[in-house]
Amino acid sequence: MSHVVLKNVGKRYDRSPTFAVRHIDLEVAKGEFVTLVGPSGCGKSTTLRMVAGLEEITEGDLYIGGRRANDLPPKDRNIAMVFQSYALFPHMTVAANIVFGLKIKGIPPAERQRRLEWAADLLDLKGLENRKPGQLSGGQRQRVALGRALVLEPEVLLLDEPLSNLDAKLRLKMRTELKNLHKKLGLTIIYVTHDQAEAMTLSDRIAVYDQGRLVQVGTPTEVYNNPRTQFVAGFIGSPPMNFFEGRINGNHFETEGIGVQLGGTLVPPKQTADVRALGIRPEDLRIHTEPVPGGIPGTTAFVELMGSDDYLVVQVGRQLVSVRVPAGTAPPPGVQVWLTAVPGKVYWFVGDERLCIRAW
Amino acid sequence: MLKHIRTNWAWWLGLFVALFVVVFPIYVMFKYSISDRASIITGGMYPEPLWPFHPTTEMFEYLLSRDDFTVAGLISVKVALYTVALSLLLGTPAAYALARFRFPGYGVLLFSLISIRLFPDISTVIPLVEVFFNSPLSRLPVDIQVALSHTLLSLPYVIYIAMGVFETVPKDLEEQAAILGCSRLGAFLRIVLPVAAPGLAAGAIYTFLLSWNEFIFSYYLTFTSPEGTTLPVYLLRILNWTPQKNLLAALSLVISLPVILFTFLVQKYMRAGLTAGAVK
Repeated sequence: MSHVVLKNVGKRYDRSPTFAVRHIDLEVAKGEFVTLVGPSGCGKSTTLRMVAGLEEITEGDLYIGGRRANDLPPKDRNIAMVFQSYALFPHMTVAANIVFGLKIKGIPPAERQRRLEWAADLLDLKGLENRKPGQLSGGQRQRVALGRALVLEPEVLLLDEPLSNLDAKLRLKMRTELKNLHKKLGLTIIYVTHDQAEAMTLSDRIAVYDQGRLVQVGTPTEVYNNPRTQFVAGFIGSPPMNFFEGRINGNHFETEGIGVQLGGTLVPPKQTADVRALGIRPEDLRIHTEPVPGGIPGTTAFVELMGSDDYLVVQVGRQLVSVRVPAGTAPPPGVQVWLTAVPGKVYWFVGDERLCIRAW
Repeated sequence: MLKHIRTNWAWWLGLFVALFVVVFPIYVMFKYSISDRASIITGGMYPEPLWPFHPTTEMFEYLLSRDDFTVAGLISVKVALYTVALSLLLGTPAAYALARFRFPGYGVLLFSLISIRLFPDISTVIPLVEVFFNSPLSRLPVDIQVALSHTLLSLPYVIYIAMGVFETVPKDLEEQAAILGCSRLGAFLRIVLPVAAPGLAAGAIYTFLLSWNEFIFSYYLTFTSPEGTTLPVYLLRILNWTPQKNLLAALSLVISLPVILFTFLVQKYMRAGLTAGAVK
């Protein structure tokens, strides 16, 4: 059963002639972890704020737990939210922050105390109850904000870039904790981030935004393997997919002033007329030192060392192309190489919409 | 934050001059207030001493023995407190609305607020007195009347200071409060006000001092009042009655003391309040 349903939801701000987000159709099932991901200004936070009730919905319908929620105030939506800034009340202790919502809702003190202890235990906040937010580290503040949301026992938990104020190491730790928490409590979570790695690792499903539109919804694997557009293909995956802008002319793909003969693993799509670009992920490229059918010629430039793997950067025309190679196996700079794709891992982008077609 | 300044003779000289300018009048005032007759009435026979021959507190004792002095002191305190209460009561919600909402006429309203302060007080005194004397306001107790007139002066300051304070309170806090179940008013009272309190306190102190020092409006509203007057106007009454230096100095000191003490105690907060909103 779908728990949160957005039907053709759109938001136009006062005095703005255009919609900030539009035609958002999304269903989130009970217990599901769905991440809204996209570059800044793409409308993902606006969508979350509409679900929270912090922004009015200009058009479309929002249902939470089967009830139409468009006109419900935030407090009646049975949601909780964690802000990027954590929004802890600086004049209250940790304990007062956590039980604040319960107090407003008129929950009796004994029950408040029970839930406070539960949250402190769950989130490792024991002993910090009487501190003020100013005396806490970033990670602790983050956990207090989570605790304040969790004690409400919300139907849906909304998280707006909750990890982006933490340093890289802590971010990874909190990411794992968050995933664990979701498993343990079976929460329905809608999560907003601009970090595709967070989206990939945390989510049951990802919703990719581009310029106010929802471009694709799917499991991380689906979105990674079958991106709907060139934008999605480029946004999901790190380092990003390599793109070769160009056209198919006869049995050649023309890019960067080079004509690459189609063939081998470089299989053209059925409709070749509207092709605008070719994409191959760094891990799907293979290096050859002899010309091969369907091989894209280039010159090795330098190597980015990552430890477990290296990324060899190859210059193709004026473009730099990233190729993943086993550590220590990269050829030296200035060597002429030919790049081919792994069978079936060739992405073509067609038309003005740059829709993705895989060919094999 | 502060960088160390290289200290040479010019720096010390500057510091000395600055200190002298500030401290000398206070010294003169204090010296006179504890002077005996022989120390101020020299008849040109000998120069006035830098320190009284026989320091005495008799002028203070005399002041305290006068009923009209205690009445004036009480009126001054009451007027200042009423002004603070009125200014905050009216100014805080206004400042919050101006800081959080944009509405038609916003710019005009903001400008008219500050424009109250464009006119010299003395030029507004005639319409002010006209209103206070020829309307039902004249039947109010004199301290309330003066407090109302002082609120006119302080309100623009309070609104501007409080606006700056509210702008530093993150909107996230209110939105979080709304999600946790607070109404708009609830969020304002439970979250925004407590967070803004130190900044608002600066505004309150500023208002208190403004009212305590105010002379022109108080003078026109109370000079002939049988109920009594505020301390600055009382000082003028005494001055008209006697030019006795030591009595006037003692009275001046009594009027200045709360100002000096307050400023020393809370200068940190005053600076914080005045710059709130200027930097993030």
